[in-house]
Amino acid sequence: MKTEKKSPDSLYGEDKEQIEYDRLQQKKADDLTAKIDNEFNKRNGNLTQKEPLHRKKIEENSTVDEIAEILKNNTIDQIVIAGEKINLPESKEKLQGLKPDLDAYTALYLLNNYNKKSLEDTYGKYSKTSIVKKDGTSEDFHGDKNISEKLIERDESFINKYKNDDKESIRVFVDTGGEWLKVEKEGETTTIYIDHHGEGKRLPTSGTKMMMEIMEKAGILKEVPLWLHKFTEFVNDIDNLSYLEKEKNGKKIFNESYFRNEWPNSMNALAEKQIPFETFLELCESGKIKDPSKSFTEDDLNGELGNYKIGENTIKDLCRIQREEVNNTLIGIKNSIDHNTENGLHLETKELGKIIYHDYFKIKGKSNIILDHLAMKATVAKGFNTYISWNENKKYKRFFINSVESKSLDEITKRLNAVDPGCALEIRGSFIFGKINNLTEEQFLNIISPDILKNVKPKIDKKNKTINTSETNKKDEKTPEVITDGEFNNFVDSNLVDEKIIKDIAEKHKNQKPLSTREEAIFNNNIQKVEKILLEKKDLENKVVKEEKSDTITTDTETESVIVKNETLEEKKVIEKTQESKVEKNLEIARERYFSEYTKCKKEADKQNLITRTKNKILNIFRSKENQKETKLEDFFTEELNEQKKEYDKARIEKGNEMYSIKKAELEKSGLTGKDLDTALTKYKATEILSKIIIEEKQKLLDIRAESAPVKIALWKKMLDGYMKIKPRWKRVALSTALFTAAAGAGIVTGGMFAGYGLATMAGMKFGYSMAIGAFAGHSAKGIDWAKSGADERFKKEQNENKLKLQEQFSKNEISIEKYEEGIVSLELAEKKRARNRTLLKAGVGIAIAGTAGFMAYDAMGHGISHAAVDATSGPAVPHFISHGTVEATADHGQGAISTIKELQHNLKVEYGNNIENAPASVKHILNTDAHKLAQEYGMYKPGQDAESVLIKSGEKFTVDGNGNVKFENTLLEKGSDLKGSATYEGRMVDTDHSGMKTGGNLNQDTLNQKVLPNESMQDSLNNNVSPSEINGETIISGDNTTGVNQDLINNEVLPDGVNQDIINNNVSPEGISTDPGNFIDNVDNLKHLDFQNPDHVISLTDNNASLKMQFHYDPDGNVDGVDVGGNTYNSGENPYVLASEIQKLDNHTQLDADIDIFKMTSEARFLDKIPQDTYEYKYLLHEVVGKQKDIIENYGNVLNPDKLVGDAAETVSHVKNAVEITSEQLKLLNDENIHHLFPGENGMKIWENIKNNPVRTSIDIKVTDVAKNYTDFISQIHKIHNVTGLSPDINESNGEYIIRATKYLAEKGRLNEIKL
Amino acid sequence: MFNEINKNIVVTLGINMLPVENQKEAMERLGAIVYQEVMLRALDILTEEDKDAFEKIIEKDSNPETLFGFLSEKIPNLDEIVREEAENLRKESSDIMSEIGK
Repeated sequence: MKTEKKSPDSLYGEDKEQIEYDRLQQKKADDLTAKIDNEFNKRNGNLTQKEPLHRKKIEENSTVDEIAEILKNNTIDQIVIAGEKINLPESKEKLQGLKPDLDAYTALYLLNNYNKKSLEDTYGKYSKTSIVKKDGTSEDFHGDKNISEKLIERDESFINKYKNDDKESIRVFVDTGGEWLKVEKEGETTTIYIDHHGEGKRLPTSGTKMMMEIMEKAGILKEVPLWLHKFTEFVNDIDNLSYLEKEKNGKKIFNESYFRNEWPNSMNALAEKQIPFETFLELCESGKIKDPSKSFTEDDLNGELGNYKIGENTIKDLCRIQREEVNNTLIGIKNSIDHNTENGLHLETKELGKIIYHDYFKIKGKSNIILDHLAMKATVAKGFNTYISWNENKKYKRFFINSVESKSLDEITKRLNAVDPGCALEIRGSFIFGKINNLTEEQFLNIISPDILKNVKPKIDKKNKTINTSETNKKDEKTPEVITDGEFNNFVDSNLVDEKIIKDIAEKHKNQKPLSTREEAIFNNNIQKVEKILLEKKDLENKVVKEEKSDTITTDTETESVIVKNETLEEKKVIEKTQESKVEKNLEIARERYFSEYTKCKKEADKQNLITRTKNKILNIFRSKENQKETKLEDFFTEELNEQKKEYDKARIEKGNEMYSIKKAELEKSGLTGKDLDTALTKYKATEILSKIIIEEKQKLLDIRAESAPVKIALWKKMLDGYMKIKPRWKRVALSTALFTAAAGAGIVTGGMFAGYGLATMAGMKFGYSMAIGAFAGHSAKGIDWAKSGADERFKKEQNENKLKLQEQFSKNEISIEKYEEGIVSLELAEKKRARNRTLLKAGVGIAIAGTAGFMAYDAMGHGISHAAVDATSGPAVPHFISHGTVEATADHGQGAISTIKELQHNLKVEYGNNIENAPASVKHILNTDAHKLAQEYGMYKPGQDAESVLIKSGEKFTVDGNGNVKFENTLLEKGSDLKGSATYEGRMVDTDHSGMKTGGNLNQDTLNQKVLPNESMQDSLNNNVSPSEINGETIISGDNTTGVNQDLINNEVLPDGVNQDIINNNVSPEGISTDPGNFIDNVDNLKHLDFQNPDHVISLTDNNASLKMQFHYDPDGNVDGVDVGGNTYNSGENPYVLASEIQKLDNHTQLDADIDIFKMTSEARFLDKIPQDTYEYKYLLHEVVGKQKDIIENYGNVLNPDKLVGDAAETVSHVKNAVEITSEQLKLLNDENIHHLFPGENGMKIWENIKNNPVRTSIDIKVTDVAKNYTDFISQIHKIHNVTGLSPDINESNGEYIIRATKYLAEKGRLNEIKL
Repeated sequence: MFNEINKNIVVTLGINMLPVENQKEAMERLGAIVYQEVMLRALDILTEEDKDAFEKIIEKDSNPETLFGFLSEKIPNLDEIVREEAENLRKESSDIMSEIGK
């Protein structure tokens, strides 16, 4: 229908010339429409129609060459291009007009802007343009002069043309005319068709592509920039919808999820929104859109691109609108499927595959809507092949068939026209346009396939087209929607939906309740999550298997066919130019095979994991944890995969060598030789080859893996964006360097690195200072024992800081990468050396200092003895009253028997913690007996005899099993609780007393310098860091009365001089200890300025009104090798007992130790209020402060008021004050009470015993409704504990262990009442 | 710990021969690979509940600092994973690149 044209002035407000021009445009368009209508009729054999007036076929087989020749040597007088119906922008009456479509626009853009010929040479003096709708069937037509002006910058010519002359010589149809490339001559007029909408199926191309090819052939095409190449490809994809067919790894990219989530945020989608051509060009040319074939990222949409305004909307708005339209269309498609299924239509035929049939049926009184421009895309996205619409509305009376199964369209067209001549027109082998003249719907469907209606009774009529709304309502009443309007709108806007809604939808699906269209939309959009939920059902497991089977590897043939199918002229050109090497192809094949196999293995592993978890949930909640092992990906690696990996690596090497050889030849040809050649090649290898063979290949595999990652792909991209956008750049380089070189060392990536870069930024702290906090954060995250000595912390801090400094220097161009690596290696070596020295030192001086010496001293000397072990998650060590594992002490670093026994004592103490009262008698005995005495009991030490010491070989060990059986190697020394004195070990005894010294006190250089000792014995002596007393102690010391050391002190049984037990026990201020806040603050203040890393730093402390100075000496490896105390200098080579004694003399050293720990804690606490509370850093730090304070209270007998401990951070950590000490007995009692509540009755405890050791993860994951009645209270309680504490279960942590950990955790926070039953 | 591969990796790959800017670029790209590997492995380890939480965090703040913070809380051996993935990439790179241009 032609649009009634109003007063032209009212439309355009132009002058008379313009009005005349418009009128002529209209006329020409009418003529063309008539011509195309005639052609339409002619092709379909409607002989009653008039023969075309202007058409006389001159040449049937015109070629690109011929057209090129004409355009090269002639001017164009008329361009006829395809247009799309639009609302005229200036029209208040909402008149419609035609605007050139993207393809036509781009083709002319090339002709006008990338033409070596000038516009004057390209166009005739009176050239003009005409726009018609591309299928030629539309009568709606209106010239849009504004667009024409922009297209052909010869508007004056148009007007002049109609004023002066009507003669035409060369007329070019672009993207319209219904012919493939063709030349027709009629009298003086030559008509060229550059159209890809002719009859029959051909390779996907476009007017743009054809134009480019012709211009190139004619030699008039200027060099086309890369962005325009990409743009033309994009136009080609849009025009042919070829992006619907694209595949990745044998799978179509365009599926429902992609259509719903990715497509709306793409240029492909924007192209549907009548965006001005110039806007597209501007976006691509300016680089705002680098690759029009890719979807916009979230950052794009939230950034400059998203805010780019097109008319009244931003691009982000348009994407949102498009997303809504997609959702609505998918809803319409689903309605159609449901409706047709209900009506019994069989919509799958041999010719057309699976069909979506849309007949505008009524749903609740309104026509079901499937938006035309999205219909085929939605069809493909749903996995169907053909879209058919039948619209009997008087206004339209049209039918339409669009199919990817195009072979039969010609046949169907013929069949339709045979019944109703002229009703159908096949276009481009992809679709059929049709007019409803005489056909009925039944006839129409039967012509397509008689099978469609075979099960339909009665035949389709209007009644059947209306869904029984009352029935629908009934259905809705039975199964109310789980989503509200607001939630659904939010889903449409943001693509986000609450987890509960997904679960509810999954539940409905599981129970075979019908889903509403909105629920279906959410279901499809979250199919992965839903599937995981539904895997609980066996049939869904089968579904997974089925999907697996359908996952076939793309064969070479298939790949080739795709390549051929999509091959365009440009692609051909590129392929011809690059001549892909055989090596490259080998690599592609090897990669494809490896990736396919890898994907299979990964899927199998994922599937197995899911099934295992689900089975565990449903069937075996109480399965023992031994059977709950997490499957590892490596376990699913097949031999085939290993083979494919080898082949893939081989192909990579081959490709790398090919690149190398080509480059080498190239360089040699340029005259490069010798060292210069080698250097150039090395650089080439480190850039191009590394990039191609390693980085790009790894990225390809990562991309594939990311597709199946359990996060949405958009989020994955966002995650990567987050990484790539770390600013300033040097930080990104530093992080990358740390990651790749793994120079980070323990904790630095998760703690130190981000403390250095993140916390520093957040809190505005100095780089180095923040490291201290970072190291703590790292420890927390890793579950490192908090109570490790301060020296370890300082050393690690120093190491981390130095590593970060190196990374920073490298990143800021201050050092080369070689220097960086050298530095890292040196630091790592120092770490190793330190670890070794510490181990040796531990054997020598550890115990001696432990009970008496100041914290700082043994701390700085790298002592290994810790305070009570504190688990980073749970706080101080949790007594294991349920069972204990085997405890060992191995003579693997040179110890003798006594040292090894001491180590055993230490390890037992750690293992049993505060639960010693429940320990087996043998363990108590070991812990309560001096090591020398034990050595005598065990027959390993016989003082007074010539051969007084047993010979211990390296690697021999003591073991104490959970029942308390004590063994040295295979000799049972003590038998658990049945202690009956000790057995003796019958080993070889040796005389190690070479010094003749019977008492310690002075350094025995003979012993220390002894170089030749049997490898397997008394290796302590080889170490200069150990004391002669201790060395001799292996042979002669009885353990009592050694100079300066009270063994009771070592065993911590009594307090050293100067410390009043009351102070510790009763929290009173003793005489002599300064409790004056000012004095305390002075000390802390001094300590705050302590530079642990400065070897020359002198520590000044006011302690009990005495002024003391302490200064440590360090060796080149950072180990303390001496100390000045009170004006006396002691070297580590000297008797450490002396050092210990001196330190002992520091009055009130308990106060001093506490001060130091307090300082550390307050240092951390100070930063709490500088860190936002909702960050992880805050959580870590708070936890550490709490843990530290607890540690202080435990270790220093609560000597200080906890209120004073936290200083400035008192308020922040105030809840710490509510912390309660809970003994293991209390803990047990509390839990027993709870358990009795949970499992009442006679058999309650038996039930508990059965499940106590089962994995708690299962208990947390399972629903209360899914367990037997006996367990519901227990599962509820576990859920409650989990919610209250927020503690994640550790791998393989049992129900019993978790409850204890959580109870302990809550006790520390004063929140026990929250879980008490 | 730094092993022989670590010691020689920049030499094996020839990165030490490049101008500083190229060295940094190489490090950025290699680091990004390790980052992705670590994230994928971490995702396999997280519980469903934690994965959901992780998604929400990414939506809110995709800064690696935040993400590592979360993961290190949930995965005790995250540092070990970082180390392993770095080692894997270094070994693979070393094995392949050392065979090229011999």
